[in-house]
Amino acid sequence: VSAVPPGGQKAAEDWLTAGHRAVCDGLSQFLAPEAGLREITVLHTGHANLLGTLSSSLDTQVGLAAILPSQATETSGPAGPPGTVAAIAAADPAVRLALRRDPAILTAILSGLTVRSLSIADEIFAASDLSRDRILGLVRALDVDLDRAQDRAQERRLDLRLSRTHVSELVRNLTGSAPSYAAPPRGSTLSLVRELALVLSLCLHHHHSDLISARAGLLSSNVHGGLLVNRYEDLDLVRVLGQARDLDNQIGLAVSHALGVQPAEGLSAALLDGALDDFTRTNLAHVDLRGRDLTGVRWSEWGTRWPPETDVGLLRARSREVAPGTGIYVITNPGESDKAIDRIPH
Amino acid sequence: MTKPGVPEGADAPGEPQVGPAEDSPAGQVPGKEAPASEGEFAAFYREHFGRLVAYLVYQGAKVSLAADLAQDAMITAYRRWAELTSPRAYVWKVAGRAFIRHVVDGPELAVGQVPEPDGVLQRPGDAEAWVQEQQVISVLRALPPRQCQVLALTIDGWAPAEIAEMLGIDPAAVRSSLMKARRNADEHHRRLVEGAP
Repeated sequence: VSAVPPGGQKAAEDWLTAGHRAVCDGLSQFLAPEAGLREITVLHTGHANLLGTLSSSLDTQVGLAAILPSQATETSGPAGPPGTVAAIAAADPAVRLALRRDPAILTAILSGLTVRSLSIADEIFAASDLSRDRILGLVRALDVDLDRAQDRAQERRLDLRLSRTHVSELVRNLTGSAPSYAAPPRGSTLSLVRELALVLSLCLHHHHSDLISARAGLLSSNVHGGLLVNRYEDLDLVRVLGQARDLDNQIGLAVSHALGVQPAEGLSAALLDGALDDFTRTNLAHVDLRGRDLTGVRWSEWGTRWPPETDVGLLRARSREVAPGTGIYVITNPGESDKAIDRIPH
Repeated sequence: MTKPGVPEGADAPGEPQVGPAEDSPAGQVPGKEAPASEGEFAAFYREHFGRLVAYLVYQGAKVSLAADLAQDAMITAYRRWAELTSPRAYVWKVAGRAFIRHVVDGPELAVGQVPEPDGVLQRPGDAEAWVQEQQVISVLRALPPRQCQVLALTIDGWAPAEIAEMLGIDPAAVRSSLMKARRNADEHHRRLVEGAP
């Protein structure tokens, strides 16, 4: 189509249309679509079949658990109580997106951890024949969850490192050869719960959330005040533990109400497991994501529906795939990921 | 090509342009399942692959890059085939955006480096030389990007409403860009006729 005929716009467009056909025909001498098709249908189908066979014959959960015995896998999704996780997943996605950055979420998590710490202390103080293995299991599980809560706490300028130091001390004492367990574990346990209660108080008082009621604030003060006794012999642990549980219920009610779900057991654990951040099977097509901080959002290629204007490729570039080939991603790049929500200017 | 029962461009071709997310069958490798009809995908691929490469070449892509991006877009479409309601709009949009990202992020190949032949593109050096000789490509590449897109899609047989949906712009903006593109193309066309530089 090298010959260029004279004429107006119509002639030019006719020439372009004919030229386009010639370009497509001409390109066909260099393109090998059958090879491209084979690459897709043979290689990718073969790969999919291989993955399918492997996934049915290999129990990766067992293998991973053998390596990381105390940690949930990233690909398995939130590992909190199934009923609570399902209820959170069914909540309005717009509400979930708004709530996941609310200070009340960290407060709820810390509240749950405080109850667990006090429960451990209660067991240690009350037990006449301390079961070291049981206590050690509880403490190690608490240590793992404190570690997981650390990032969220840092976002609110709260530091849980001191709490973890106390946990480490507890673990050392419980695994040590010293026959006398009493004094060191009790002291460490008390320090741990005091430290957690202090962080929780700070969270309640300095990171205000409209969700947290004045009653919750008062309960937090009571828990904190109850632990500020100098000698553990004087501590009314049962009363403080009761107050901590009451506080935990209050915060759980507030968060459940905000989510529009029924209050359920294990809310704190589900929140710590990232139930609010899990959008791997969520329809976000009609949610206004502009201006939202999406850092930490889990999404999937196969289950997340984004608003039509979303540049999923850019979103993928700003995300980390939790394990190769899973199609599950976590948005890691703050700010930049949100640009994917806006249309690309042409 | 339109999938059976679904008019081409009848729905918003934004990305992702897919069906219900809740339908992913449990127990399958997510996102890896084969299309319900491989024959249907194969027909779509054969009909549109070269045209998609041409579209990217018109935007300014080297033919090797265009072939890569078109192939990547087709792979993406293949993986999501069962969910796509308007695959043509989908692959054009995915490939177009990938090219924009490539332009924004900068080319990966050193200037003058001739890519190795791959499965889809034979003799890439010859192909690029051939592309450089095509006056139609020169005329389209001389247009502003939006006008180039609209005119390239028009001569490929896209209706203005389909173009508007695929590019995510107002139909009036398509008509306006198309009018300007035709005028500009005519000017370039005249220069070619008259042999002006």
